[in-house]
Amino acid sequence: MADNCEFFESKYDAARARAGRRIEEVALGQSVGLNGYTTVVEAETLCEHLDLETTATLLDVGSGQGWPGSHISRMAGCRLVSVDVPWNALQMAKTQPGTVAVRARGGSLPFRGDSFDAIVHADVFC
Amino acid sequence: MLEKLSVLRECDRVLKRGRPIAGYVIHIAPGVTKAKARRAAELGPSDVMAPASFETLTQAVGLTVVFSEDVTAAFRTTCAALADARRTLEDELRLEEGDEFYEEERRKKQSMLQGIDEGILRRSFVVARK
Repeated sequence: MADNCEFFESKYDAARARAGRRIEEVALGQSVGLNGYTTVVEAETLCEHLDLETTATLLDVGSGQGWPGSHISRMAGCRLVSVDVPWNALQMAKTQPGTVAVRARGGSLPFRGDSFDAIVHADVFC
Repeated sequence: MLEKLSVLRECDRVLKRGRPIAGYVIHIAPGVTKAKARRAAELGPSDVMAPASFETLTQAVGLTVVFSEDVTAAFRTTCAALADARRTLEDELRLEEGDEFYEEERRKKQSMLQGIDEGILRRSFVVARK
């Protein structure tokens, strides 16, 4: 996972991020800022299983530019903490309302124990 | 694999007791031969996991898997749509992404589809609780 950092930094540069949005529009009929393969329907399925209240804090591990955590936190009305390594992706993630973006590796999360009400991940563990 | 385990350990540490961790995992299909598993590893994402190892790792850190569903069919549809869109937009993507990045992404999508169609790559939706 760590060895892919350079690839992901380049993937999220501005021109490639714009290109990614157009690919989504052509492929899926909408553009949400996919990091991988998680569609809107799948993000909504995730939300249904996370049992989130408006007071909850959700952690998105390997968030990239914020998808699908941003969609789930909007649906639930809860707070979101997005964690990943590429700076440029986190800059996009933190533009979402109610989102805190933190640069960290998943194997060394800078949070106290028992901090989060739910955790979401999308194609991070492959 | 060790890094994945350390990430899951950290997730377990920061998650409140009784609360869920949910997500999508691309993995090698269970029950394949060693040769097919090697092929799946070549075709899939870098460091793609062996059959069922995500659930094994999840349980190893003390989380309990409460729901698991194969979502490969939807994954294939999405992957094919993204690959088709890349072909449709090829000229402008080559300009914006650069030829090397474009070719690498095209190769990855084709490989992924090949692995899915050979039945050796899958995607699962997994929910676990602390």
